[in-house]
Amino acid sequence: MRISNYRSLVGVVAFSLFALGGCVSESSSDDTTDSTTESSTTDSSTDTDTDTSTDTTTDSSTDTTTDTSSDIVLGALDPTMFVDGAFTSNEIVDCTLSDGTETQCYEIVTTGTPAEQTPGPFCPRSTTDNDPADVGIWFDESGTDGIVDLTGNYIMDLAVTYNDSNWKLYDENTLEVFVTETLESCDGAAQPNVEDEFKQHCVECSMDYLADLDVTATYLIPVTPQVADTTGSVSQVGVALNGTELSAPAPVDDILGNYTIAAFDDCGGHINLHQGYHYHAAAGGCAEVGTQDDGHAALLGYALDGYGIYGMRDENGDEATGLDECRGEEDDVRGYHYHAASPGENLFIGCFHGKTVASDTDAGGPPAGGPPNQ
Amino acid sequence: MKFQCTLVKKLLVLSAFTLLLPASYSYAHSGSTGNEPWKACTAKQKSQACEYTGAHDERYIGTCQSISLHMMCVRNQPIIQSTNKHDTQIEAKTMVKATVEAKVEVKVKEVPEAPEGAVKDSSK
Repeated sequence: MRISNYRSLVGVVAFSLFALGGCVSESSSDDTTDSTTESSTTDSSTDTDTDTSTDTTTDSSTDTTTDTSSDIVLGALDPTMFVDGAFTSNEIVDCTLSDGTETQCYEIVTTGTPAEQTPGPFCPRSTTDNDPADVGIWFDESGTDGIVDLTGNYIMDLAVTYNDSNWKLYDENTLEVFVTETLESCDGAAQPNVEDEFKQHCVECSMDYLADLDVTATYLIPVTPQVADTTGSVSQVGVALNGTELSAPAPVDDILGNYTIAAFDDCGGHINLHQGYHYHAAAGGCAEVGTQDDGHAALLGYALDGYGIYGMRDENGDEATGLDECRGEEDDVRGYHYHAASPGENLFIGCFHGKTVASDTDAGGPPAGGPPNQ
Repeated sequence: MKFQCTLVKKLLVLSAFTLLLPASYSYAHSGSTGNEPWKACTAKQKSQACEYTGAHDERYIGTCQSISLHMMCVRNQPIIQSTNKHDTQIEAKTMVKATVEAKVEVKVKEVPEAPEGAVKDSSK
């Protein structure tokens, strides 16, 4: 509760006592009894079909180098599931898995730009920008699936939300929201150690800033997934069907500790100068383009061990039961596969069920930032 | 005079309710840092059971996993929605309903109070 609320409450109590005192004396004089005891508060919280096929030819991109012919086993990556333009090349190459196993991998090269999706919007420009269609989202337990629309009102309420009066992401006079609107401020705010001048900003970066930067990513994913003896730890997760990186959890504590909000668009992604556009959450169903004939949740991408990652809910809105600790399960249609967590959980899967490529030949872009401080 | 006191009390209850409602609403939103999955696995080993509670008292149950080199509670069961959420909503709706009824009652009592003089006047 804010101090101003306490002051108001004290005022009301004082006034109440004064007024009631008058009533009591009047009541006495009138010899009447009218006891009203109504004291209550309320918490108003609300609340690929990866069928087995042979001789697969990949044509996801116009400039794709394709020689990805293989026998796709149940549950394995199917290059035809990627949307057009998801990658610039996809070849099968020799690779070594983390346990030393020599095998073959898809070498998928992406651009840091999602195919068939325009990133944004992210931050509101004014505290009066309250149309959800004009703003992005942010993690907040109070919202549905742990996310809320990053509206101007939400920006105004940050001090209350985080119980920290230092939050001030807007100009009280102009109502303008402080947004990183230059490459310099984007770079300065989108990192663990934010300089003072870039604190108190809603952080967003433009795709235009990436024009002269190399944000391509190369993913080495086993053609045939191999179950690992022990599950593997997750950092970078995999790649979405539109070529977007499925990143490690956003470092929320670092972000908030610097009085910044690293806004996501409605798809759960945002931009930085190292990875380009990347997802931290499976939000809005944007990446879930691999619809399933049997009502199963749609395929949204592949993990680095080669298994598919599907949405959290099926077409009836139900979650899968009986998931293992990696958030995976197996069925006759898809073989072993994962289900993404809800957007607000800030993760996709819990661990790698299968073997991934050895770290010294690890593919992909730079790490997606550390986890929250503890 | 008795009616005036009743009216004052009703208004005071309404005022207090109006003030307390946003206060409790704000409280419900405070501290929403999303740290619970990490806190739930403090001093726990990989694959150990864990759980935490969300803002609406919903429960997240899973196991501790190493995510970006830190132990984090990864849910592997469907989110368990709290029955308290339903109760809370009912409670909130009841409070709103009570407030509305109180307002109506006040207005109803105001109506005969005002014409009372008129009646007296007309009886003259």
